[in-house]
Amino acid sequence: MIFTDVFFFAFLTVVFGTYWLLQGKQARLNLLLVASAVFYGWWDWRFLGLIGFVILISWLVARFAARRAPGEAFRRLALIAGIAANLAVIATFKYFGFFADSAREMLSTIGLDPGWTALNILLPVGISFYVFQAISYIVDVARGDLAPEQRLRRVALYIAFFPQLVAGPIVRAASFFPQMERVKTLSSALIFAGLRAFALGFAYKAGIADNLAQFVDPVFGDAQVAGDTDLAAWSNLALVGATLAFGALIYFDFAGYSLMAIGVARWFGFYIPKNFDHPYASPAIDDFWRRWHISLSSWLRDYLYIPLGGNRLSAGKTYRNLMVTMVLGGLWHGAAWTFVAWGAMHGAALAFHRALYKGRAAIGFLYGLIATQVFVLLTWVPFRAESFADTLVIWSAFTGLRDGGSAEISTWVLLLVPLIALDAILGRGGLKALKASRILRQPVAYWSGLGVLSGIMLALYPLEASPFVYFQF
Amino acid sequence: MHWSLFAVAALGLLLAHGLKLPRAGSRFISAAAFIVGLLTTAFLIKSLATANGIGRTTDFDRFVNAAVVEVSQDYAPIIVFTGASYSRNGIDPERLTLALRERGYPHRVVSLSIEAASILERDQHLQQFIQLSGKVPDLVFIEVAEDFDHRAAYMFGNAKFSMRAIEQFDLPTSAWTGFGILGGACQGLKGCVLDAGYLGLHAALNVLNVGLIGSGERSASVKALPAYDPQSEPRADSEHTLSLKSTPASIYQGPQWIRSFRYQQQNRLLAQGMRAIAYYQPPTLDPDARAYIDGLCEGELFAFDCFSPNDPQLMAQLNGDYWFDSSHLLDDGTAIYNAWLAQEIIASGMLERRP
Repeated sequence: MIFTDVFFFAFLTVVFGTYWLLQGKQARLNLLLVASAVFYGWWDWRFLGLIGFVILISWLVARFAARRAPGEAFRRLALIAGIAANLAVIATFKYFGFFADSAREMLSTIGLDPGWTALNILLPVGISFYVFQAISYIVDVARGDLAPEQRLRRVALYIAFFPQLVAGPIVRAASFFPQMERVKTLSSALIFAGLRAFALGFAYKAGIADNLAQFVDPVFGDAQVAGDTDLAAWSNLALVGATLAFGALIYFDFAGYSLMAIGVARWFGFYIPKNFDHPYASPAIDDFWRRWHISLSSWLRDYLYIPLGGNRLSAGKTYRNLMVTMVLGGLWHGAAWTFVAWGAMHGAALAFHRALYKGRAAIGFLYGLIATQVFVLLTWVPFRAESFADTLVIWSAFTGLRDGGSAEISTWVLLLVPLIALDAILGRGGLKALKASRILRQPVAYWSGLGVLSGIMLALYPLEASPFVYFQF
Repeated sequence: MHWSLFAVAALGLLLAHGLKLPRAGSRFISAAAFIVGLLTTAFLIKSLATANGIGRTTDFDRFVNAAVVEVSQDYAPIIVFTGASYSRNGIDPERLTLALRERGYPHRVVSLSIEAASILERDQHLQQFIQLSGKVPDLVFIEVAEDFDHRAAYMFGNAKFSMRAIEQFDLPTSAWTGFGILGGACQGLKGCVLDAGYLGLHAALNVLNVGLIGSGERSASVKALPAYDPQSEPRADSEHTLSLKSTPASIYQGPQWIRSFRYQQQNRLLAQGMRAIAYYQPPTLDPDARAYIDGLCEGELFAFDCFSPNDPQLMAQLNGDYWFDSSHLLDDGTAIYNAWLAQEIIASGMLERRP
């Protein structure tokens, strides 16, 4: 059940109606918990056992840790055990096959046959997101930043809240728990705030991202099918265009999902912070990471980079910390060396940028924008390509030195650049400058505009819906 | 892919970013403004899509394009067979063309046949073929079958909410289907209520262009795929025996709705310049189904060339391992049937008859 699915709209209507008909705060929270279980079980009911385990462990460990004094060995032990249990879950289901395969390949290069075959383990959807939420809860409690929640169902709802369960944003317990306590009332402001976020997210996902797969998949191949690419057939321009299309696709797809999650949560009276802030308008790589997948980058900053020492130590250790954080961030995206390479490149770029511009103004906005976005675009290649060999072929297409094939993709794909620019301008207050937003607040203009937008979205709605790209992470 | 997609997406972004909290206003006016905005947009998008030949892509478009490619390389008079799965397995255009040409008739046979296609859906694609090829067929062979005549919304039994289902229920097709449901061309009260409900939903999805641009393509650029689907092995779960005895024909007229549709279709096709219309049904093991077309050929379709498979000689030839299942032929069976059909068509004189 994905947000653009007809079933989801039916599900949402029922849950929304029942939620606001219920009077008691606890009854509403119970409903959300049941709805979240239904939502997650819809993918595969077996996943419920796994998320149940993560919830139970996190609740128990946090309670245990909170009973001990800060600095006590048992508190530290509980913290380590809690993190280890969560990491064990993710390691088993997401990385076991990857590391087993890598080890086998390494051993076979020195003539040893380990004799094991990789297990084909089903990857539970959203595991990377909810495990990170669970870890942040345990760490926050163990650090003393957050009081442990005594009620299991509250922890369960925090980890399994359906709008952000399968693809984030990764929400912090310190922000979510107080919202559960608040008495909520249904208001037109709440409905319109949710509608605005959901409509924009739907436009991103169904209107744009789903229509870009036709540029990307024929060139890069099906992301789920290894070895189905034939890059030699494509011209250099086609490879560059497909990379550009993928950069746009992953942004509109993931930012679209995040906005829809924010909109749906808003309809239930919950506030989830934004996950994207027009990263393709960033004039520097550190700025890009402040705007791209904000909930993950801030999680990595708070629970990995800073505990490693952040930038409080020597310059060399700061660069090391950046590299470690970004490599692990790359690995978080998927169990493949291409993701590790993607993370390493971004880590190196952040270290390089820090070494070059520490405390000083960077190069001008335009040069910075071009340099940053070209770098980001080039690094999408290993992120999406099936292998390093494919990555090198596509990179060589960017230089124009490769003897390209004759297959082309539509050159209309270049219109994505002004489309992304338009999105950034509008999203950063461009409409206010045009004073168009004032006109759109008039009831007739607003409602007819919403009618036009609905008409456009219905026509752009993909009848064969594509799953969200970030579900695979 | 068309630049208009980006223009539409840009307009969508503009509105999605701009629509914040509206000022309070009359609910009636707000609702009216929303409906006007929605329907105006739907109308404009539909008009643009129609003008550019954009539709939701289905296998039917692929078959139409394959037929267009066939006739574009051949200046002979065209014979179009338009049927459902019986014809998809049972009409081999190459064999029929060859059989006719061996007897001195230059015609080129093409097939526009797909599983579960009602006469209404087939009529849409016949028009699409005429538009894309720029040629009016000389003769049109329209498959008739009891299943389709007695269930106006036959598609809902097979593929509800599919691209094909949404694409076909435009306003005229929905009106004809509604007429059929009202006339009882559905299965029991519950079936009729369900079909009517599904019809309303599909018509709304069609009118609102759901998926038209996102899942659509220019019909002319859809990859061509021949309709004929030869089968060499019987279906695994199929058990069948031939019964040569047919129930005596007692049905001389189809239901009112389908008679009305056929009547207006006949007039329209002839007005478009087609020389003749014929009706047929590929062989089936069900004697009652054969008896149905026998009855129609003698009754409602008496004035037209009508080729019923209920010929003892044909059925005797097909008494063997020629069946994919009880109502579809294997390729060997198609060879026998097509040879018989070519002979019958020639014998009828319709290839030479003046309008």
